[in-house]
Amino acid sequence: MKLLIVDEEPDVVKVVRAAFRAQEPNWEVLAASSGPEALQIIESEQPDLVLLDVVLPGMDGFSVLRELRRFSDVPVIMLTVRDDEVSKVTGLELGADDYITKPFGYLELVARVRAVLRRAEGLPLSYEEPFVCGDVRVDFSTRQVTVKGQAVELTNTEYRLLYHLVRNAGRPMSHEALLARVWGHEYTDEINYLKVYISRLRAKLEPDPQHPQYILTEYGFGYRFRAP
Amino acid sequence: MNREAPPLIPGGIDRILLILRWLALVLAIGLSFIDRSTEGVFVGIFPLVGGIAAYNLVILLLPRFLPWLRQPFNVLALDVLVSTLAVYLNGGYHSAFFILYVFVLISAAFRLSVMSSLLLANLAAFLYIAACLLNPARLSTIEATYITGTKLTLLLIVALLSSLLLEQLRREREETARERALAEAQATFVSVVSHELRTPLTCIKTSIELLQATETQDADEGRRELIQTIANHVARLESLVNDLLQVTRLEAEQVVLTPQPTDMALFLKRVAHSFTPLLVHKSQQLELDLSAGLPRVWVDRTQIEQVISNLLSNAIKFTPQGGHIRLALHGDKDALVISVSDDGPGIPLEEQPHIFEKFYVGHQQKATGGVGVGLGLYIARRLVELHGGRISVKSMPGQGATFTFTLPLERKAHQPRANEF
Repeated sequence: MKLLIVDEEPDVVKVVRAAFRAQEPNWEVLAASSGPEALQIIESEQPDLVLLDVVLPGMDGFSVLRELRRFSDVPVIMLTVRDDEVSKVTGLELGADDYITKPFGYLELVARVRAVLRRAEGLPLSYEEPFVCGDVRVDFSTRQVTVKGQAVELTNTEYRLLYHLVRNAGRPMSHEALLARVWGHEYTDEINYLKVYISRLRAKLEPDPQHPQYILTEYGFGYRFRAP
Repeated sequence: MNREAPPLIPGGIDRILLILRWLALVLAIGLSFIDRSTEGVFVGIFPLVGGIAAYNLVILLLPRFLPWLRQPFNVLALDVLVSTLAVYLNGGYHSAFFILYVFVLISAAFRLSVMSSLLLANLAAFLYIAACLLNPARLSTIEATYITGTKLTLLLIVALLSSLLLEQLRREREETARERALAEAQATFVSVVSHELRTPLTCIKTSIELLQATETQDADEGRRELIQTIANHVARLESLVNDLLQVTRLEAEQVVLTPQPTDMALFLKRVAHSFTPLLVHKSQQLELDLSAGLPRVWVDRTQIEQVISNLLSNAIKFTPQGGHIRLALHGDKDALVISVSDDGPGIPLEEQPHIFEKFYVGHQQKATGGVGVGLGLYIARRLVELHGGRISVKSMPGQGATFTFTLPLERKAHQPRANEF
């Protein structure tokens, strides 16, 4: 497994390297101290996951993420001193997969990296009947999602979320259940993750995301995908 | 200093004033045609209009060559002089060009202080009387007094009202700019402090954790104790930095709640569970008295966890070894009520009104040399209030203390709309 840590502080890079050496000695940890350098390494080395700081000289972490998402869907964990909700939501909306605040416990860091890598592997293909509801069609055997016959590109996390919603179509699913199934049990309080990904799914599937027809809000409880 | 000449066609407020200047001229010309009493003019209306229009064009160019005309008062005084000349040449008392003064004074309100505007209004009044008296057109004393009296009163009212109004608007704008600058400074502070303190803490904390993880069982006891001491103090420093940043954010109103419907009994159980190591360390018992079947309540779990953690940490800190702590939850008519009780030394009555104040450190804490800078309960109060609840304490010295806070069942304005979740 190959990780890239993007942080301008050499000592942070050093301790992150040491943390992975202790827990995952076979993993390779690459480092970059600026945005452009990180983008170059991602293109040339194709890491499996990127740990990205927000505060970087010149180009900040959010700009790096925006730029990176134009050519790569590598999992990204924001690793930063900013613990406010606005920064978290900004990172998630730009396509980050997780958000860890410094100072972190190294075991938590490694656990989160493992969790994100697990999610990135995607769900196993399942040979069952495709799900069809209105214009939306989900083919579990190819993981292909179409709206009005047009293919829709979904990230692994978006597909996971949709998968759990459509497999329970017609039944309300609680915030906690969705967070636990898609992200993991330790994420059940991270309502922002769900909020951001539901709006991303709605933007891709709904004819009018402001007035959803498929992914319906179960007020004060969770969400329900319309029954076919 | 290199002073650049102003642009020929100014922007912003100056552009508006320029438009106002031409509007005034057009209005004056229109009134001159409507008002039949200006028949006995000294010069024809067209040469006069042409002259004023030429002046307006020249005044655009002049500040490029005459720096003193870049001073707003000077250029407005020149306007007053030219308006006076127009009034004089256009029939004195009867001249519709009096309207030019009104526009000049409204312009002055935008550019000058109240005192300078009034000074300009007085100059206009004086010159207007002079223009009327010097003009050959004559009126009866009563008529002349009536016309000049009305017009001069109008001038002063326009000058006073417009400049006071603009001054007020200027003050409000300055106040808003100051508040924005302060909020930006606080945000910058949080950002810089976060980075400058949390980055070294990250390095120390992770290094210590790694050292502890790799320490072998047969390592020197003294060395292990030293590492544990560093770890304890890093944790203390981390908590202090977090509290300071949280206070700064609360005071800058930068804390944005992300409420989600929560089964409070389950949530409290989970938070309480995280205190097991501390409770075991002090051989204390934590009793949970959580009513079941209560409705879910909309809370920001991270923030409410901080409130409960602050109260439980205090209870553990002040309860003696082997003591007893109780975490209770029950439902009220319109709120959930959560309380944390301990059998510690209690809080003196005179201290109770102050314990939720910022940086207030109680007598007991000072006496025991306890750690803390008096932010935990202040943060708890602010976070509970942000949720629309209230926090209070009941204590008798020597008989422990009970901290109680409420969380309203009804959703408040800050909580999300249905389509958000």
